[in-house]
Amino acid sequence: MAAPTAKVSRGWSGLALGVRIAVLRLPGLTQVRWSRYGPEYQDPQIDKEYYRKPLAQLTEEETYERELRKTQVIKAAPATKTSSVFEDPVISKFTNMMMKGGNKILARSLMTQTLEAVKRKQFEKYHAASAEEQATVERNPYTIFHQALKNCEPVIGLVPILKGGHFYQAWSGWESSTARVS
Amino acid sequence: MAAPSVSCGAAVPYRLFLAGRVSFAREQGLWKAAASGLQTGTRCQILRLKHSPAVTTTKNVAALRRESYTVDFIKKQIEEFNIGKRHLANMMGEDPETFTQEDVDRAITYLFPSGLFEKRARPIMKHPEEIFPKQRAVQWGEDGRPFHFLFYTGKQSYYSLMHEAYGKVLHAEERQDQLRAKGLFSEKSKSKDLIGSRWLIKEELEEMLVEKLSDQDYAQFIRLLERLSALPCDAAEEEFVGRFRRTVTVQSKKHLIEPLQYDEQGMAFSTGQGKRKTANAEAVVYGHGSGKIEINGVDYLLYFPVTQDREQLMFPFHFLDRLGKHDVTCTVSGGGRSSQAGAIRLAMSRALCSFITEDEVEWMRQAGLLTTDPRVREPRRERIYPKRKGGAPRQIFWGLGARWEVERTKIPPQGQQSCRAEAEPGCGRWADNQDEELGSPATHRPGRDHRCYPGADDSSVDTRLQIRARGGGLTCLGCTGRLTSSGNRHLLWAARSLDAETWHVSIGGTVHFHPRQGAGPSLTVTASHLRTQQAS
Repeated sequence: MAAPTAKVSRGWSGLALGVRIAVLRLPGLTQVRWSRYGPEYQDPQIDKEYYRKPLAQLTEEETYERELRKTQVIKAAPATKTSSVFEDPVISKFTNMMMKGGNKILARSLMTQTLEAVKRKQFEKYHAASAEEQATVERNPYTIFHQALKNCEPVIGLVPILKGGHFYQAWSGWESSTARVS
Repeated sequence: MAAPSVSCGAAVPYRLFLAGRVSFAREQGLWKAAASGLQTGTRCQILRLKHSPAVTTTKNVAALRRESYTVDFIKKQIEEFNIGKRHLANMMGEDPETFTQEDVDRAITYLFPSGLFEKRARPIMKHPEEIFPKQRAVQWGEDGRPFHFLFYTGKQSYYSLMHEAYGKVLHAEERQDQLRAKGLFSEKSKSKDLIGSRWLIKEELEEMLVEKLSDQDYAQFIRLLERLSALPCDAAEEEFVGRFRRTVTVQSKKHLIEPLQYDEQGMAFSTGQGKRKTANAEAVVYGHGSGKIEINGVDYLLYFPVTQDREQLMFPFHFLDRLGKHDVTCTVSGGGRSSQAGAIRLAMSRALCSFITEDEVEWMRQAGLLTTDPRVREPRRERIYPKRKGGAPRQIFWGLGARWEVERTKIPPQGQQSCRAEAEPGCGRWADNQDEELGSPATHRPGRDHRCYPGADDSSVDTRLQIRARGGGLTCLGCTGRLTSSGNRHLLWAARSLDAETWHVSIGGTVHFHPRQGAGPSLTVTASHLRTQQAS
């Protein structure tokens, strides 16, 4: 039986910084998952370009958001994320899912070896191809990986449809469904 | 739903809460169920450890009644506080006139050092306004008529505040219409003060009004205030809205930036310290360099063979576009490789703050580089409700130095003999508790299994609880042979080690442990019905 995690609601604009919303308490259920960060802590923004953007080019919402972030406490950046150009969130997610028993070193080495193998194969194809075909050969392993994942996505997905006061799960296109590997 | 909390006299080291039955004194001969606590299905099982045989369940009525303080009492307290503050200043050798609250706090921590972890339990000396909760004066006169016209709404302060705010909104809208008619109206945005302050939270508003509010009331009030602040306001209305806003500190101001230091060659450098899990690191960043990082005398490529750790070291420099421009020397100890990398990253970021502008410091803070990661390894503890096949949880607790486990069990195997009350009157007779004495010799027939209880061969009913105990210097010396109507058993203990003894008790039954000779703590383990799987 899964215990409910703490329900935190990001409140209205400007409301209640630092207030902990009470955890839903049901009889017979114990909360088992919690975080060392309080609910007021925001996720860090690692992207360098976000900060380098000159102030003149910012829209009103962005200025407001910037000012708001100055008053918020931020969590520490996780050990897996950097501002490096070589970092890809999809690749990181895939590596984590490949990982067994916390052996990130092995998972990451397998991932890099796979990407290297893909790149080598593509380069062989490139060198074996004629001049016209060379333009069609994709050599970037990251694009190939992303395209492969996209090809594996389903075509249809379940969508909650409200009819007569009840929600029914009905099939619709994958784009309208919100189910994703987060 | 909270059940009434029943407290026994002795301190209980381990307690499982929520509803349950309470075992009454043996002398009374009754099982008393807490009526409000007993529910079907969704309730948790209670297993309570009592060190005294007689336990009563009276509520502490005096504590539930709210204390009301008169105005004179509060005034007297304030006078005493002021005089006490002056005495304290004298004691500390300071000037009573300029003795502030911070000085008071410092003096109290000096005079009454406390090792308690809970800060609210330590001795404090504060103004009575902060200690005694605010209470409302009597709201009606001698003739019984209330003073306020909104008294009968129940929340007079809240509704009068809403009334006032709405009046101001109407006034502001009227003024806006007049300005529009004259053509002098101009759109202006009011976002300038929205960042540095926040609306009052519900608790603060309740404290201000000395009244309980619901979430909807609070939301309604905030919506009205937002509507008012969106309109063009004059000074009085701004002041009115300002009463319900609190300032929010800008976080980057809290971070102190060390100034640059210079060594003998004139090279600028800065130190920083960082922590992550159990790793501690200290980094010295030099102003000019080629991007060399030395850790504990070893190059970073040799110290961190894993790419991820080296990426973490590069992160602050890459973020600030200063990749090959600084030299770093650091020392690190403790933790594993990932925590050492994180500690060094934090130390380097802190040291870098001396070289960069304030804006860049703020960017680093928002990227999460300047926050100590609070996540630590979770201490291992006994899981109270492990998921088990068969559904019902296993209760574990400690008592009398022994470790007890109680779980639902099926009917014991065929080897054990069962006895029925009517078939064997000598064993299973329904005895009154009043007949039982401590230390009376077992009336069980020799050779008869102690573990007998009525209805044991009724395999269609699975209502048994199995209690196991281990360790603690206890042992079961045998059943007294008296069974009560709930299938209790009374056992004697002596100072031999308990080694996985097992007793089967029906739900609602009890296992009593009494000392055989002399005085000593006795133990009663009561089992109410277990939570069923359907309820979860």
